[in-house]
Amino acid sequence: MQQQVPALGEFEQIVLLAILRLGENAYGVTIREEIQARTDREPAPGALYTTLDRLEEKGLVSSHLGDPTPERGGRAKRFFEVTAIGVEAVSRAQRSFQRLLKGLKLPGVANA
Amino acid sequence: MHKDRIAEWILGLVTTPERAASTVGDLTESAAHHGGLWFWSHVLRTAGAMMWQTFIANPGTFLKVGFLGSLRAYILANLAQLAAVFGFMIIAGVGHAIFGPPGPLRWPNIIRGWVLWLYYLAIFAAPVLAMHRAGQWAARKVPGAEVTAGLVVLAALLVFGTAASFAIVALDRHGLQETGSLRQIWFPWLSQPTSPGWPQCSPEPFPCE
Repeated sequence: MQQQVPALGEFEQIVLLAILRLGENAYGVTIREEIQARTDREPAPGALYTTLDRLEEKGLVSSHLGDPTPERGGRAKRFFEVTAIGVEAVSRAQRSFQRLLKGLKLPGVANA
Repeated sequence: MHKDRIAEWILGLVTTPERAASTVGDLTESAAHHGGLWFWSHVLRTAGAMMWQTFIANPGTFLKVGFLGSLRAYILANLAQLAAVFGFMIIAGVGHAIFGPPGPLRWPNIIRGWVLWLYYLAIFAAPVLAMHRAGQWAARKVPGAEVTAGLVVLAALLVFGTAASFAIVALDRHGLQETGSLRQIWFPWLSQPTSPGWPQCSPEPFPCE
């Protein structure tokens, strides 16, 4: 039976897209920096970690621990990657946005 | 203890040890640009966010545990206080019979000095022990979310305790003044004797006529 693709909130989509953009270097610090650089929003670490935990519980991302590094007090980085169902969920959400945007003329939005 | 260890311990209360360690690692890395205040502020905010996430993932269970836990604490605290009151009454009675002057037992005169402080200690320790037991019970009900369960019980105790206090004050004002107020029951030596059966003693330092 095919797994049902869950609906995503706005911040969940942002986090998933940031992880996809970062590829193999997606962990807490770089995900926050990527979101800040691309959206001009500075997410609170608490909001980011709880969202990452929620996405992992939904099966949309998976994580693994890297090697400990000295600048982190000898603590390992927790790297994230988007699962196949995560890619499907974010693609579906973006297609919905595209369909809603189609035919609209919004200032500063391309392909409207 | 190093600050990272303390932060890891705090986050370890609300998430798994591996996640706590990697989160503290991230915050340590970011704090190099932001400073210590930023680090501690986000350790506490992250712990709060994780607890809230745990709560809203299963609010029904936590509200049930909070209600039952606070009820348990309230009942236990009152039973323990009653036990303390009656225990000290028995001790006072026996003490008076053995060491006291001849004549009738005068309750307000018996408990004084260090026994009085022991009595206060028992009266105020009872709710603390009751809350501890209720917290242990709540923690067993929600394994893995012990701190969240404890805080929910504490919040419920605050709400129900305040409501119960208002109810007791209302009851005391309208129903019990005629026969002796609750204050006379719990702290008899602090109350001016009013009822005919009560020993006629002045409050300080309890000499009887």
